[in-house]
Amino acid sequence: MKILIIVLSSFIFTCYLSPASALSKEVPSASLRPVVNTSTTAAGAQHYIVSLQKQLKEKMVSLTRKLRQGDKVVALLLLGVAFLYGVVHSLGPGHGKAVIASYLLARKGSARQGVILAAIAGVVHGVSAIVLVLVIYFLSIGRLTTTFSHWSNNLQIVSYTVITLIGLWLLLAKLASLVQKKRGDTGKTESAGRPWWLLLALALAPCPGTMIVLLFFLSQKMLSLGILMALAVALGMALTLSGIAFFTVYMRATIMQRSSKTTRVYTVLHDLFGLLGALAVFCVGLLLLYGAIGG
Amino acid sequence: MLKTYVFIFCLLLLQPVIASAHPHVFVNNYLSFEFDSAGLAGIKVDWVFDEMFSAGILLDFDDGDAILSPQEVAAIEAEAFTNLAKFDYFIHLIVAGEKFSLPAVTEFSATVHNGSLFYSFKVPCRMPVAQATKSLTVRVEDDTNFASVITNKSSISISASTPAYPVSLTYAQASMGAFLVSREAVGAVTVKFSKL
Repeated sequence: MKILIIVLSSFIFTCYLSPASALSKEVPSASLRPVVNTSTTAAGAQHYIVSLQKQLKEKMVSLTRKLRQGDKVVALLLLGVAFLYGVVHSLGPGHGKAVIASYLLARKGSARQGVILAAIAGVVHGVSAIVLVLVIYFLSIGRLTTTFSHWSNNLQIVSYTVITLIGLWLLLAKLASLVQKKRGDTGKTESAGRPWWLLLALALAPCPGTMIVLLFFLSQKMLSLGILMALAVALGMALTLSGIAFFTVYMRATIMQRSSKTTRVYTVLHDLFGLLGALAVFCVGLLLLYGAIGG
Repeated sequence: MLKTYVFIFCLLLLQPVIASAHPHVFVNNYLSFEFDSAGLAGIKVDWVFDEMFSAGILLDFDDGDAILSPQEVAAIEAEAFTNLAKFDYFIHLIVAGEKFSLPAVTEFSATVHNGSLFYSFKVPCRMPVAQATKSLTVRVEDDTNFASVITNKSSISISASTPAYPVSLTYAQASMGAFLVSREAVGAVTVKFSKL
């Protein structure tokens, strides 16, 4: 668990450090050296993700070349690289990590449920990109690259709207149940609910990283391998999201367990997480929406 | 320990607020400062795209022969290049400490070598040479971080017909991200020139 926390914290934390921060300082060419000091060392992890992705993509290209030369065993290796690319790619910003985490904070559920939900979310995020590419390709709707980005921009707006609404709905449901409890009405507590809307919302934001991998194999006239590769990327993303989900549920459970000396505190904490999580889903949705429309 | 959990969790939630996209396209950038007897005439820019992104563009615009015809180049320019104008083609110019808006780019062409897509174009930014030292700083980076643009030190040059007055190049340190992608990467480059 400790290792997971260290890895997670370093990757997430480093998203905050601007990669352009070292640019303003001008040095003579003779003393050109890599920027390594304490403030940028933390940024290293996030930048490392980026350079690792570049290497993995180059690996996919060179392995495909080998495959074309008749080395069939390489296909398995290729799928492994694609899986790893999915894991690394979804560690970068986005890909529904914040949405999943805040949703699981709001909802009481087991680690198993959380991990399954996140895994499905990762798969639909990639599969929707595959579906979108294949629809554009086989129906000859237009240029794959430009049409994909145009459609995915529009789909994202729908997706983020749905996420915002889910947050709002969770918030209202929680408030309603609190009011009910205050009145002493013990009849109906909040239902466990099925996260279909959440999965739909995440499916509506297709992953551009998966698209690029699939387009490459389409250009090589290797459609079925391309789909398999894109699926491997999606499974890799599912692994990352599951890790995030496990962490969230574990954190929630640990806090509940350690701070709840009495049932009263337990109930208060439960309600607090419900409210905070719902509010977080709502805010994350709004911020994503703002970014998609404004940016 | 609990505090650490909560801290990480908050960072996770704040991620979409602060971090922008991460690169899906990798570009090697080449700059050539073109001088004539009157001063700086312009900058020739060449981009080499990673093979995976190149394959996507070729799938869309090439008829499959890996050679781009004038019609195909025109289509790439119209549909996949001019839309970069709203990002100033990732080219950020600073003259005498002030941001200088990018003039129109000209002479666009696109070619394919060994599966990689090459773009080539010119930035016509004339700066006459004078007694006082003129200075132009160029930084080529996608601030939205969709593309990772790398400029290696060896990719920056002064055009062949070397002017009869001194021209110097100084380089800013590369960002951590660029450095990890290429050990020879530099940040912004400043070109200085004056009459003897």
